[in-house]
Amino acid sequence: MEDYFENEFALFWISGNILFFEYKPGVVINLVAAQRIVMDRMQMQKEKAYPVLCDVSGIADSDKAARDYLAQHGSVLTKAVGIVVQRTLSMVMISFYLKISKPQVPTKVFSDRAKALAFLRAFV
Amino acid sequence: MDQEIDQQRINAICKMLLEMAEGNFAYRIPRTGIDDELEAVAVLVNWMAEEMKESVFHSGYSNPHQSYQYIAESTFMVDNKFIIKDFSVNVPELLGCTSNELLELDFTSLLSKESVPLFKTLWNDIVENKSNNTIISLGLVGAEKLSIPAPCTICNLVGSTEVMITFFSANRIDTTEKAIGVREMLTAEELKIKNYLDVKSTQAVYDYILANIDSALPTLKELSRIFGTNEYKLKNGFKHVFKTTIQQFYNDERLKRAQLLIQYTRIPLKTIAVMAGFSTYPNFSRAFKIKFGYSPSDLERQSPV
Repeated sequence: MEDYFENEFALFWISGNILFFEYKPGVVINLVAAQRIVMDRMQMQKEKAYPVLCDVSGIADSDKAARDYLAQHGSVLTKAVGIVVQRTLSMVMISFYLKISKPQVPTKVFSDRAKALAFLRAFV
Repeated sequence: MDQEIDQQRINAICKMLLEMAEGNFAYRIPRTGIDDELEAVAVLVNWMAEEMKESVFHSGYSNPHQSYQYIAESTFMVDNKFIIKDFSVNVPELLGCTSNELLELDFTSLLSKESVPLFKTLWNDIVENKSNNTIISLGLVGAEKLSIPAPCTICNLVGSTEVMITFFSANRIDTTEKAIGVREMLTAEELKIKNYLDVKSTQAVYDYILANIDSALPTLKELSRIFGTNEYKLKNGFKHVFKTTIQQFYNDERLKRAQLLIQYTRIPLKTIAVMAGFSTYPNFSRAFKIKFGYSPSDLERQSPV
């Protein structure tokens, strides 16, 4: 593990040139949370862009302001995003988000973590 | 017990949808913490209400209450045994049958199952002259077995024993378009947008620019080719819908990204200027100051890094 960081909403670390991002269980993402998440992630990245594996299972809810912020700024310094989804609820939330937000970098949803990693390796 | 809880959750979703139908997007369905499909529907409805409130109805919700134009007056002449003796010319098209099939047909065979008893009760009053002009809503079974619910009047005539049944809203959508009222419903503003470019394709241009924010902005000519429109429509449609020019929007978005990069990374300002699409740092700095009210170097000093 090259780098590791944790705030009240998520944990994230860089390993093998991939940034792993995991929301904590039960978090509700509002605008302040979204800004904090982007800020902490960018600071950890130290100017370098990474492909990101994002596990959203922990998200319980979010508001529009947060979703809009993440749609616009969530992908700064990312090369591609593989979203890992296991629960029904997360799947629906992520489909809604992607439909509205029009991702700016290649973004794909996976139920299988290994497949998500395989997708991201092409961007390392 | 579980079933009872699910029923309560369904009730909450229904109540929320009813509120939205009336234009109230402020409510939210209480979340239960359960991870199932019902909860997923609740989240979708909540999020949709939020989107609609802030994106669609941000300038205020209004319901014109004019979705239907009651213009196609389909009229039937029926004798006291419900036998169809005559009808207006648009009826065969509406019901998807020929004139010959309709003549001498029992009128009640055109009605939906629920409407038959209703019609028969009223009929006695009409024939006995207790009431001479009744308005009720009847369902006509049209082509493809779809029911066409329509308010109608049933009234006696002076010179004959036949009864006249007139339907109001039994018109198809394509005939509604031709109604004079529809055009009047559009305000001058809305007409202006319509003349430029429809809002949907303008949104597509907006999304395209956002999705390609890291590349150079295509010229108006190129953009209009991509979206199958002309430069004039593109330019004015965008300005009208988003209250900014395409170039300004593109610059603003790039400056916002630059601001983030300055705040949270140590990428040299000069490099960020180039990343934001500016040819020189002074140009970038000037644009940045105009947008945010402070220059890029001021921001870096405030950075927690």
